[in-house]
Amino acid sequence: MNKTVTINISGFIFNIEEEAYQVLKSYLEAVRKTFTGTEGSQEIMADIEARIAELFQLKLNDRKHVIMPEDVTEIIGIMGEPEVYADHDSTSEDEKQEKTDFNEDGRNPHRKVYRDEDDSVLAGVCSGLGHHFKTDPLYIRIAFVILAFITFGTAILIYIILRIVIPEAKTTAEKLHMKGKDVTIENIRNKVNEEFKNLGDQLRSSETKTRLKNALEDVAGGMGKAFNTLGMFITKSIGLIFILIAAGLMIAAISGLIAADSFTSISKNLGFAQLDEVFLFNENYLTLGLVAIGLIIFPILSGFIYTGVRLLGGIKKQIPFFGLTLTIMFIVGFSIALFIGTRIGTQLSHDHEIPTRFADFSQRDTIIIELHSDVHFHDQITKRNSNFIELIKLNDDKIILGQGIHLYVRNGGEGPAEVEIIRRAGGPTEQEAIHFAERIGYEYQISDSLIMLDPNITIPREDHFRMQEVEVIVRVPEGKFVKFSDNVGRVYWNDNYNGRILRMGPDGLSSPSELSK
Amino acid sequence: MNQGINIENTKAQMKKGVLEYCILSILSNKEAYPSDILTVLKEAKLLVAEGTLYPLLTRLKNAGLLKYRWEESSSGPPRKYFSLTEQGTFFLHELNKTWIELRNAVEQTTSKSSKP
Repeated sequence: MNKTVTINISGFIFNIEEEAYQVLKSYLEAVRKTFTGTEGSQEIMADIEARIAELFQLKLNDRKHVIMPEDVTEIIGIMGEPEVYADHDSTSEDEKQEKTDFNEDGRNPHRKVYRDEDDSVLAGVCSGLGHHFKTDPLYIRIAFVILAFITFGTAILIYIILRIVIPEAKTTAEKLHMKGKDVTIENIRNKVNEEFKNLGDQLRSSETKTRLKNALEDVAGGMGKAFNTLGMFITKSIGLIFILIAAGLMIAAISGLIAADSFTSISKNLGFAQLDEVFLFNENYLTLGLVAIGLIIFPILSGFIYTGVRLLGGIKKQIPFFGLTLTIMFIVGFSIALFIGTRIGTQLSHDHEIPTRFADFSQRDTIIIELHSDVHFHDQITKRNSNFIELIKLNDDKIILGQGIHLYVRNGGEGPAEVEIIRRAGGPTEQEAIHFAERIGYEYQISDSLIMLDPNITIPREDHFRMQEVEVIVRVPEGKFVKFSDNVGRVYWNDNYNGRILRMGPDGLSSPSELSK
Repeated sequence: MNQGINIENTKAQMKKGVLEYCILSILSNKEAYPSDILTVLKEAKLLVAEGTLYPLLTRLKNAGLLKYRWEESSSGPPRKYFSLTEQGTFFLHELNKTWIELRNAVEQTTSKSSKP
């Protein structure tokens, strides 16, 4: 007595002895395995099953209702061992290549997808996909991690499914196949055959269950491995971030250079050496500063790139003294920058104001503020907020600052009209700050109700630029009017007031016509 | 790399080369379903394992050389009746020419070299 099972092949029901069923099942799975990834594998399998159904049909008659193991053996004999299919498939690969002329749509010989457990983080899915798409598996891994976050974990499920669906590359041939290499060498073919002979036994152990179990073990069970992976992903991500930072720095440095270039070219009146003289006390700090910037940026940039590439696994070997060289460069650059910074800082550590007051200068209702015509920058200047460096000129003994004067018109309340002129400068000591402020050259005339201002200030050339500036504060009693000259916008924040007469109200200046409403 | 010569392998390669040609020739006369083709090929001892035929047919079909139609069978699953496409006919024509050339070439070289 033997147990039989009922099977359905190609839509036909057969009773088959259990032993025969196991053999047939293993056989079909082995055949199916040889076609995995082949174009039309489903169709081929359907055809083969149809043929087996046909052959079974021939075995059965009125007196024989059950397929016996020997029937299956015989049919396998007719159909051929699984390796016959595989063997045929690998030679057909060569034929296909010769026939490409006739391949209308120019199909390439297929590459099978395998999991690469030799180069795996979890189960070699990404690695295998990497081989298939001829890309570094790293990118696929990164994509998976990103997708896992974006899709709230769906990608992990997809990973598990792929782990089950994609077979592992076990034999040399499969591994070569996976990597898209030809599998023509004789010993490799032998190895494939060997593998297929073993396959039957392996298949008996219920392949799918094992796969699922393995997948779950890989993904869920191997928590330690997962943490490792996480660590690796973080490492690689940091690597990527480093490279991105380096790229960002590079862009910043380049735009910085462009800005520096426009900085010097904007100041049509000053050359490189003169900029150094005016702003950096004529001690070649500008050149030194640029060197320092280079010495600081280069090591940071190369450090980021190097570390990033290393974390991504691009460089395996360590470059000798690389870090040391970079560190020394950085320290030197940083020291220079620090030195320049300190020097400038100490030069400007104190500042001082020298006010000059002209109280009660106006008896009239209207105070007129006028500006001398600009002899130095009349062809350059338009507004108050023009480029500061643009409006600097040097003559034999003076620096002319076109943006050194600031005019303020304020509410003077009840009191009489008043003008205050404040000279301000910085210096290494209080004494020197006073000295520098005193030496600011500024011309103005204040007569009854008329303030005549110069648009520029001058400083002695040997004083250099030490934040020298002049503030002109006009305090206008409430109710009085101010008449601005056409060019007052040159020193006043609001060039809308050019040529206008305005009235001082509690909230500042406003148009008298508006007020009368 | 040592590409060893194996007599079984060489035989198989030679057979397989002409297998497609033979299948196309069989189908050039009339349409047929795999069992018909198998009968002819097995009689001619060109094919031992039946299973080999199916991937081959699918490949030829996917290459646009063959087409098929379904036909119900009284004794089993529906059958795929294969026939040549226009492209397949052209392909067979080319193979015919090549075969004749090859046969002549083989005869010529083997008869010459077997003389001395």
